[in-house]
Amino acid sequence: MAKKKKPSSKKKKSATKRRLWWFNRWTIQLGLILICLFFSYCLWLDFNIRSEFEGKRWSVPARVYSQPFEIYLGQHLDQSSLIKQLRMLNYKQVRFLSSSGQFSVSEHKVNIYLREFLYADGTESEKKIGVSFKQQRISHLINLSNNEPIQITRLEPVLIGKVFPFHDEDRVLVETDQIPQTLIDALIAIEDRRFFEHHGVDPMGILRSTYMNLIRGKITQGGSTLTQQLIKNMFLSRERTLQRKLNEMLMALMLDHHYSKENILAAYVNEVFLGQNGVKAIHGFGTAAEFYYGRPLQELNIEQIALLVGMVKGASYYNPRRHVERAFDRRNIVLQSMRDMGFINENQFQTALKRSLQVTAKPDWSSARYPAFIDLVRRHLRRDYQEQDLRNEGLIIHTTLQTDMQDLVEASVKRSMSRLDKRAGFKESTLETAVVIVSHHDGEILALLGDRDPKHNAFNRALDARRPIGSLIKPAVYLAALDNSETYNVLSLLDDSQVSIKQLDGKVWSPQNYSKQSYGKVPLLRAFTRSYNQSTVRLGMSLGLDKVINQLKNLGVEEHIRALPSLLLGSLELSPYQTAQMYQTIASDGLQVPLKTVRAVFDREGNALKRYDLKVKEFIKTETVFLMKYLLSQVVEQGTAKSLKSALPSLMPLAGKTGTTNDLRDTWFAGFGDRLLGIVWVGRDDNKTTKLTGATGAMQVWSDIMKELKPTPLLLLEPENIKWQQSPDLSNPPESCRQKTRYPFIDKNIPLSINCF
Amino acid sequence: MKNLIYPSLFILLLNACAQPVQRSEALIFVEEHNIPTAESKSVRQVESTVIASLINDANKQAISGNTEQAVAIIERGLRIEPTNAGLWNLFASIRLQQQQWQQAIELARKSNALTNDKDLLSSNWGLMAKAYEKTGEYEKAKEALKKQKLTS
Repeated sequence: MAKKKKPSSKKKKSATKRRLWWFNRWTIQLGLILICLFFSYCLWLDFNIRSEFEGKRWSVPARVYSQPFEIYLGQHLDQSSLIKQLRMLNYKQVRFLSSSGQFSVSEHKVNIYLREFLYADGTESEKKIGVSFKQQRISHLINLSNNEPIQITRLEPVLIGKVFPFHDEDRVLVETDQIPQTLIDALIAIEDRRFFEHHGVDPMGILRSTYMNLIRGKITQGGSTLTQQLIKNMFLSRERTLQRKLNEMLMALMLDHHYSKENILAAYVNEVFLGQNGVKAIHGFGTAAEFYYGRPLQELNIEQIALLVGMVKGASYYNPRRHVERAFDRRNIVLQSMRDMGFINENQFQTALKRSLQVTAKPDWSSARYPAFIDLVRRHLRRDYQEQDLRNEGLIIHTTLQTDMQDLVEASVKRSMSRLDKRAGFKESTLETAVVIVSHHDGEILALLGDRDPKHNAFNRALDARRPIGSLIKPAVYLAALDNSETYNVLSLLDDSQVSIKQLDGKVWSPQNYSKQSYGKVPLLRAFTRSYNQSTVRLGMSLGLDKVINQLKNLGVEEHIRALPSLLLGSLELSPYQTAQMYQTIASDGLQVPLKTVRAVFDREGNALKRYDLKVKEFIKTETVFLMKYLLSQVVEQGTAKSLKSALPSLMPLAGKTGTTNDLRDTWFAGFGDRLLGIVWVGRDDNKTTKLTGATGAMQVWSDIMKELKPTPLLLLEPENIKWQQSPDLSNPPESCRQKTRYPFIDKNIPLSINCF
Repeated sequence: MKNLIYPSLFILLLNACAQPVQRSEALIFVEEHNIPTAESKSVRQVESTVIASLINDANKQAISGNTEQAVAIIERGLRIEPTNAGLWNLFASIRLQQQQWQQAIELARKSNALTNDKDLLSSNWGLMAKAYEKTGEYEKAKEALKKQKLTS
């Protein structure tokens, strides 16, 4: 048996050996395959990380700014208005200026440490200025660094909106050299103490956090390095699995191998999730600084940075607006770590501990603050930019909005509209309105309202409500007449008897004056200022509708206009915005400037992409427009808008035109001074009667607005070929005929005699 | 073309300060309706020292060839004092320097619409004459030259 056994044992041994050999061989082969696979996986991961990280272009929303607030010697400005403006920009009041974004106040003086800012015409560095006031004016303006007087400077504009990426991320990029040292210190202290020593993964850190968690009996520290956190945010899902964790560690090692600590830190600072603003995710410390403190990251103090760093652990859980105590405790833990690590001394620590959280009210960047204006900005930009670029490329958009003016308009309209509802016997919010305020010499839109509630923008009436403009069209008819200066002047007699016109459909159109009376022979001046319909229709028909349409084109109306007689009384439907362009051309002496909301667009690096320069084009002869401006001033002086004289006595003279449409459905007022033009429409969305006229409706809103804006009065400067002729006063014959006044005429066509009609 | 900037500099700086008074002298409404004018005059005069400084800066930029920067400064000035005919005149001369003939003409017209100062009117007509010549509109150029002579 033993003999038999030996060979069998040998056989067995050799079989075992063979099996082992085969096993070893397979194991080695399998191992090699696995190593190869792992290696390939690593290569694939490495390739992905590098291409993603190097090609990383953050989606950054476009930032829309108002116009800056100019500060200049002699400016009409009081101390409190300047302080209000500084507060709006989150400048901090201090006793002594130490860094940008601060101001100090003493009697009749404000010192400001201005922030650096990229304006539409170039960057201005941060600087300290002193502003002194005397009798509500700026009496001295100096550069505090060298005590040299300066003539003019400015406060940076207000961020009025953002155009967000489709995936609703908000981000303000912070460059590597802009990261405050305090932020780096705080991150190192609380998140990753050995960041500058480890290679992406920190075994010591894992051990330390495990030990600390065991001692404290709860998870207070994570073992993830900043690099791992960055990997998790940029590349991986939020699921908690071993596979994801291993991937994270592997990728962190690779990232650390390829890139400098500074690059990794910069990416982290811009990527980390720090809260939610509605549906918009707040990414990065730059955005968080703006969102929680309304200031640039560079201006935050120790405790403010400590809070933001503390929120990395759980932005929602430690939300300082919702959970004040939690956020306060977390901030103090960060401060304690910073003290323990020697980043701040005991004194700084104790001072910071005593301070409150200092977070501001939640800012409104969703374009909901000035929705009608932002809507127009987007429409203007769509001519030059793709929607995708607007949302992702971090464009910096400088606009023309004057926030203080817009705020005044909004408050004023709110009051006026309530009053008008009551006056017309309607329940609150029956009437609607739209307002456009323009600086008429350069066409800049300074304020815009598309709804009586400025936060609503479901229907932007300033742009989209096209309504018959009524008598606001009359300047086009009278310009067509005055352009023919050999036949017409401001005193030409017009026929205001009843008129009937057979239309194309065979129906007879017989327009009447608002008073239902006819006035016979009337001077052109009176027909215009009192807005007589019959004489206007007769005048328009005798001139020819084509001439009136030409004038409308000259005034900037771009769309097709049907040559119907009713056009002469304003059946043409225009939006308040289009009407503003018409009146801009008149107010600005016939020299048209396209209305604009955008001054310049910069890319995220601060390179100018496009400047929207001021461009002027003469469409109507200066002398003809002068006569029209004279007529419009007389509408306020003696015509349908004369109640403005008593409403705004200190602002006179002004020019304007009332407009009312059939059945009092729409009421309009267009008026201007030396610089400002305002268009107001008041009507109803259901197109029913407002029970108001141009003078009792829209003009009241306009008047209330101008009470706040205090426009510079109209200064009429006659062109060289306009001469003034002494004449009996025709404003209210026969009583006024005994008085003398002067009327403007084109010099070669001065009438030899003037009868008082 | 830079030479166009130099002769007008002195006129412009003078005009920047003087222009408000000239405008208000021509105001018929202010006289007729007895509106207080002292306030608006002083506002314009004070603001004009700022404008004079901006005109100076814009000129420096234009002379050193930074015409776009000069335009930006002028536009800033126009936001503060949009009726300053001197600024519009300088704007026109810079557009001429940039060979934007049509804009130079339109801006000179705008300046004329805002002033009755003879030096400035003459400068504007001169600018228009040059621009018309460049666009080949010789009749208009001649007419502008004639007006320049009449106003100077």
